[in-house]
Amino acid sequence: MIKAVIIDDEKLARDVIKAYLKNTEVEVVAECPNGFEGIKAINEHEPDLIFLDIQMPKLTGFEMLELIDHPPVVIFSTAFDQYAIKAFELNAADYLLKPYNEKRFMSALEKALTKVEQPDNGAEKIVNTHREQLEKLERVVIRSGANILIIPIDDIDYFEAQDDYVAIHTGGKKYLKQMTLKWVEDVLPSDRFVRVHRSFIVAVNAIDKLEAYSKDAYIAKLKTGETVSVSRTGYSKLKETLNF
Amino acid sequence: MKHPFKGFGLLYYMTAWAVIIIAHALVLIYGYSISARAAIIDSLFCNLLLAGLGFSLWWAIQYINPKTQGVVGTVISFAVIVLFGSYVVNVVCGSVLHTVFTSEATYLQFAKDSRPWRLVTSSLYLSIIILVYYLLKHSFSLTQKEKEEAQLQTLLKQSELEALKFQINPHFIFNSLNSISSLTLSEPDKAREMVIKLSEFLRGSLGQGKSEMHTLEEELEQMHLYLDIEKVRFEERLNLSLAALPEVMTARVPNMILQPLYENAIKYGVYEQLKTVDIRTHCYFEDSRLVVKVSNSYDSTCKPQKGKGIGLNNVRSRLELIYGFPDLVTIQREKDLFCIKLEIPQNSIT
Repeated sequence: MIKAVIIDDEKLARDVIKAYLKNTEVEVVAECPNGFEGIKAINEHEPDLIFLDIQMPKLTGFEMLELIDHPPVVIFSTAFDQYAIKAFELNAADYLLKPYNEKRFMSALEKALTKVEQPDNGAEKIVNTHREQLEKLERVVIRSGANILIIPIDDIDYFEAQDDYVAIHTGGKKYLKQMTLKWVEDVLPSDRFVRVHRSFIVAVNAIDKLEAYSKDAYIAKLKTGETVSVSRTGYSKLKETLNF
Repeated sequence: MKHPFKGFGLLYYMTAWAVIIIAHALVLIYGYSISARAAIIDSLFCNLLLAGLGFSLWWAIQYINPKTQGVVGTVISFAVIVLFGSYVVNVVCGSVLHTVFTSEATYLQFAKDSRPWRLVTSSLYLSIIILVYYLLKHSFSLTQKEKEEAQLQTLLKQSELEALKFQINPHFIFNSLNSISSLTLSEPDKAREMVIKLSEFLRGSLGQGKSEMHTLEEELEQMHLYLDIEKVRFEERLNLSLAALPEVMTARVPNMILQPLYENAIKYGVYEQLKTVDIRTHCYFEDSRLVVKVSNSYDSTCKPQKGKGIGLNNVRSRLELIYGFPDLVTIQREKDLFCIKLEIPQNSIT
């Protein structure tokens, strides 16, 4: 028996999937109206397959996947989302455009079932491709122990590169997330965030003052009391953004 | 442009010449003691010739203009026309009148003496006529341009208004269709009902044969269709209430003006929130304006996924285009309540 979890915020949308799965070898072990319950259900049931809606309250389908260490095979379903569709197509993933008929559903299911046994099922790749497609970032989702945090970018003071991770500093606290500083720089609004150093992106509003450190280096003192190194090019970028 | 002195204009033209003819004759009679008969004939003959020439100069104007010939070329062309014209008129006048009045010595002497002055005055007359033609032509093309501009403006306004009207959110359509698809499996009756509601709503929002304005009652009915569909999708997550006195129902409002408000409320409320969302509508009169307030509970800590008030900007621009007042839309954001206030001027309210 294949175990499946359905994650969609509309009951009627979940009902269709359940109805189509009735006479298959797939058993629905949980139904979730949002991403938070989705994560809980995935950790609890360890399903082989999930049906995942993209647009859901608070946590999108992609954001939910980012927070799962070893995502199961995913069949996405979406009503209208051009970036998402591009991400699926690039990874030859299984996705359903709402509304869909039983035939379309079955072919997606068949494709997904062949992937269940494979170690790399492509879910992580889809998340990465979708990330690349994204044009601007408005919030960051982070798993901190048992909690899930949604941090609007306005609340972030600075980003710091740490090996394969980026440390997100907000209000004196620090959270790690697997991503690259280059990508963060690309998707942040350039009028509010400046890459001041190889390892730092800082929110211009978070800066309290700038101090010369040596001939070619500066230090940005933040309102939180933290300090961030600023290179010479970083300094001239700040100068341009802040007009001083 | 047709000849300005055709029809009613001819009357002005001829009146002006009549004045000149009378003055001319009087000057001859009292200033130079010429017999009334000779003076009148002289005045009539010369001036009518000039009037005819002046009248026909209009067509010359059509072919000589500074755009094609340059200012200098135009001035030279007209100088030649004016001088040559007045010379010919005077030669013709002189020779004809000379044969008519062979017996009147005073007149013949006067005619000979006054020849240079006649040349000057007739040139002056012709120049004035040309200037008047240009003036009329210019003011005509100016009003023409203004008219065209005004036409263009209304066209632009119309197309802008068209563009600002509610654009149906694809998410809404496809998700509704998906709900219908699901209902056909479990509750076919409800599915049919929803198809009908969706069709009615789409028909209204596609705006075919719909007037720009309708009553608040019609608007709220239209919105009810939309909200009913959303209610089927979100069930108990969406809670609606309306507070309005019967008297406001006849107020005039632009078609589909409330749509972006509800869409916004649903986007910020239902799409982004896990708990039940209350969407409240309150309509009342304030002075001569209808006020519609739509509020929804929302989670202030949560950022919307995408879209930044494009719908609301549309409402603002649309109201400004229709009523000519800015600031008819106000947004009040409290801790966990988001409220949009629309003010819709009602001129015909008693």
